[in-house]
Amino acid sequence: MNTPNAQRQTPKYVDSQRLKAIRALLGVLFVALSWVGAQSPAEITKQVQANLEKAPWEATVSGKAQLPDGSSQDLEFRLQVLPGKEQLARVEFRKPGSLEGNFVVISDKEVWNYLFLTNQLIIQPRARANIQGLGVNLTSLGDFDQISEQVSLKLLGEEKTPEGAAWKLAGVPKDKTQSYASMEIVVLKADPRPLSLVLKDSSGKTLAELNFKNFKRVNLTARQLKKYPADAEVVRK
Amino acid sequence: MSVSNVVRRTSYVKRQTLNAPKHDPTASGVLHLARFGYRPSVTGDFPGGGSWGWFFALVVTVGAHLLATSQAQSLSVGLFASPGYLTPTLEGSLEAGGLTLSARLKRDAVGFGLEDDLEFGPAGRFVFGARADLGFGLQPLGWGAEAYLRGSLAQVGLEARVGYASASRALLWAGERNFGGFAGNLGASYRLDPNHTLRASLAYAGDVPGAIFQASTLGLEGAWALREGGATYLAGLGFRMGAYALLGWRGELGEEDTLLDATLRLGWVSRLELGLFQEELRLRLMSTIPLGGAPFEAAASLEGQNLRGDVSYDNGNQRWMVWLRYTFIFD
Repeated sequence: MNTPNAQRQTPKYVDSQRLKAIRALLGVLFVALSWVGAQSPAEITKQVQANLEKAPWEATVSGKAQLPDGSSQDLEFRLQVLPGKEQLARVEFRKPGSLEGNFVVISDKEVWNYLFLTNQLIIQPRARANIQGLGVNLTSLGDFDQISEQVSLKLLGEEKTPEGAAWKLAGVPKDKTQSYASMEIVVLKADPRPLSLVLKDSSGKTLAELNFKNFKRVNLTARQLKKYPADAEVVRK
Repeated sequence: MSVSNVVRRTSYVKRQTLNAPKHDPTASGVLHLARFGYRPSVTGDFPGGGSWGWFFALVVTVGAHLLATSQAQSLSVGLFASPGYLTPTLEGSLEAGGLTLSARLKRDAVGFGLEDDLEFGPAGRFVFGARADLGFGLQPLGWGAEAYLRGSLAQVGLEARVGYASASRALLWAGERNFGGFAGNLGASYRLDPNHTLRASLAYAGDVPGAIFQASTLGLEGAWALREGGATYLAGLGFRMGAYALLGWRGELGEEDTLLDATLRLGWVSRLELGLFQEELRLRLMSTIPLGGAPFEAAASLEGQNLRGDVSYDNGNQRWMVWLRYTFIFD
């Protein structure tokens, strides 16, 4: 087409236009890469939540928690999570030894609390269940969305862990009546999931320090997670 | 544990009242095993049974109201029969002001209970309460009352119960044992470590299945439970006028989620208890072992969904009983 513009598209002019386009493209890519490299805490928690909701998983959580009387208690439990329509989490205690055999099952609506010594299963609506007897709200451990909703998080940076590079997040609870004043979470970058969780009080003293180990994807069913001894006394409240 | 971390949840419904705590020592087992047997001392008709139809109608009306307003947590309707005696039974519980109120009624007796609990989350729970019964079909009026506490916190479990009845308990409520006066038990359990638990109990009761000596007396029992390879083994000794041995096993059978619980006592108390449990079906059997003069007595209880049936036979008193119940559960 013989337009004035077409007449102006000499090879030199085309090269210069290409150069500009490439520069613009590189600029956009640089901005995009910069944005990806410096994830916001909200983006990280979204990634973690999406990753944990992909398929059923289990992990061993161990560490220390401060009891209400001020003493420190070794804590270890197996955490099993079934994401999806019928979300369920099961916490089976291994330490302290006095709680071995006890477990808690958490669903959207209910909390099941099994007590080995009395062979009782106490079923309560989740809204009024007391599951913080060990200084840790067990419902948060399998629900990262809940953590990001309840805590104002910021990204402190990255750190190396035996499992790979990880993000370190810190935050304070939006609800000041929470039993802790600050929280630190380390999240694995390659497979976004928590590696550790630390809760501190207002004086900086550690209330709970939990490490997530032996994370693996497993086949879990609601029936498996809800299993309890067939002779247990069931108490509905 | 500070009080601020203790959530008081007083409203509660025992959905499956059949289930006793595992390996309940004999002494305290007097109370739990009462569910298996029934030995009324009166062989004739219970007096005053026919004129209380209006009272039943009132209770049923109240029950229906509770159903309509969804306030009741459970309501059980049943029919109880023994030689020359037939009565409907009604049991209900209701949340009110953080407490659980309960009531039970048969044609010639009524009882009321009040219960509260202390929650310690995954670490444990204690429940405590009191109950009173009035037998208005008796001359003079019979009554009974008891208070109880049971539960666990961390590695310690406790169970205490004390009561008094002016008449035979069998007259005050269906399925109760046949003795009056004082009764009580104090039991404790302690987990030495995840696999070893010690249990001890002291009880005062007048009617224990399989006991050679059937009069109110003290009983003492101690047992050691070992958890190994998915099963629990129980070994212990008891003393009630004379000594007896205690052996038990509890574990799953095959892969069908069927759980068997067997306990054998041999000596001055001789009886075998078997429990077979599946997700929706619970069967309990008890038979005394008539050695050394212990009277023969057998009982069975089957529970599925919300339906439960109890039967028992007592050769010593030539008595039997049948009790069928259906329970409505409300959220």
